[in-house]
Order: sequence, then structure tokens, then C-alpha cells
Amino acid sequence: MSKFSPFLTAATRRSRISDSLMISQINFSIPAEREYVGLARLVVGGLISGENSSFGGEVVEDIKLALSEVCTHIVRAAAGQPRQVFIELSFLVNEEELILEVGADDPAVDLAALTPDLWVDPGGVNYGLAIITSLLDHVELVSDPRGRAVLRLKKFSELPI
Amino acid sequence: MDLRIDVGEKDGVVTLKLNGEVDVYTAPKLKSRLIDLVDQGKFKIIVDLEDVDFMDSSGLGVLVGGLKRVRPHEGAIALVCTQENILKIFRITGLVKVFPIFDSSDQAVKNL
Repeated sequence: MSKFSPFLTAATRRSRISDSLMISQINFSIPAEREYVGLARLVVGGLISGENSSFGGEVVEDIKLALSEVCTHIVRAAAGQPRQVFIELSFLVNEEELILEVGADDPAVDLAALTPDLWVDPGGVNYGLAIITSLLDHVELVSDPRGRAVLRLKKFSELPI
Repeated sequence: MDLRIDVGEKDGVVTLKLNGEVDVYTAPKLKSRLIDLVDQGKFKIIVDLEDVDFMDSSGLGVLVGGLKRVRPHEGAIALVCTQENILKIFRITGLVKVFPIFDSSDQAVKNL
């Protein structure tokens, strides 16, 4: 178990969750360790669930599964790094779409460099990327403002706009 | 966010009844249990996923790894699952063609 708090950094901007889920952006980070992946699912699931959400229960489960896959790969890539690595999550949702960006705070865990091998687990089984691309509407590798690679996952609302 | 594994045996078939979540944190527990069974000479295994709340590719990898271990011994792994959110990942990955999936443990025992 990490000695760090899972919510070492958390920030929200223009958040108004209670009435109409008008969240603009929520950022948080968790240690890149196995025991915290479930916490990331719990947080994101909680943020997009609820009676005012634009996303149905099945979609919420799909997003949690895709998030779990990305976090798992970062955890595996971060294993053995000399310093504590954190997974950084940026979460933006409105009535039309949900955008989730996931990356690592350590340049040594570079998603861009790792991509060719990223989705193969130690047993040689390659399912993670198939699951992510099947469940979400758009998946791309982008650079964040610091030039680090992050995976951007996008899901469009099923409700009429 | 934990995984409980209850083990039962009937007519030479071992059933692992999972309860909880199977992800990168808990999958090693399932892997260890499957390895133990194979080491004990148990090659016909049912994995009951009815009470699993969540499973990702970490769980799939462990199940595929288990299958690789039992097949050289004429063994098999069958699954019990009726939950759509769990069945979905088996469909996406094509593993519905690899694992026989049944609605109940009794059905799985009869067919294994």
C-alpha cells in the first residue's frame, strides 16, 4: 500500500453536479498501484451516475471498464520505476459527451513509447485495447500541455440533445 | 473492492465461486487458486461468475492462463455467467468461442 494519499491532487472547475450534472472538468490522480484502480472506477462511476446523468447504466459500466483497462496498463508499465508514479485523470462531461484523459505523471511511463506493447499482459494475452475501442466512441493518443502523451477516451451521450 | 473465492467439488469437478471484483488487484488471487488446483491434479474446473460485480482483461488473462494449464491434462474450464456486463467482455474478445459458458453450475457440471 502506498504511503501517499490517493487524492494528492484534485481540482474541479465550474462544477455543479447536483442539478443537471454540469461538470466542466475534474482532475484527480491516484498512485499507479494495483489497489487504486478500483478507486478510480468508483470515482468516475460516481461522477457519471445518477438520475440526471446523460449516460445510462450500461454506458457507465462500459466507461468504468475502459478506464480500468487503461489504468491497469499504466500500473504495469510503472512497476519497477524508481520513484512513485501517479496516474493522472482528467474528466470532462456535459450533456453531449464525456471525455476522459488518462496519463502518468512520470515521463518514464510514456504512453506513446509504450503503445506497441502496452496492451499485452505478461501472459501474452492482448485484450485491453480491443475492449477499450469496442466500448468507446473515440480513442486517441494526444499530448497534454506539458507534452506528455495521454490517452483520450470519448463517449457520446445517448440522450437527445 | 475485494474478491472472495469459495471452492467446492462434486463428481471430480471443482467449482470456484467468485464474489466481488476481478481486476489487476484481485486477479493474482484467482491465478494462485487456479495454479494450486492444477498442482493438486484438478483439471476440470468451473468458474462461477454469477456474483462477480466487475471483471476486466486481467481476469480474462488469468482464465486463459488457467485453460492453458489444464488442457495438456485433458482438462477444461467452464464458466457460469448470465450477467450481460460480464458476458460482454467475453464476446468482445472472442472468448465465448474458447470457454463454454452456462446459465447454472449444474449445467456446467453435466457438460464438463
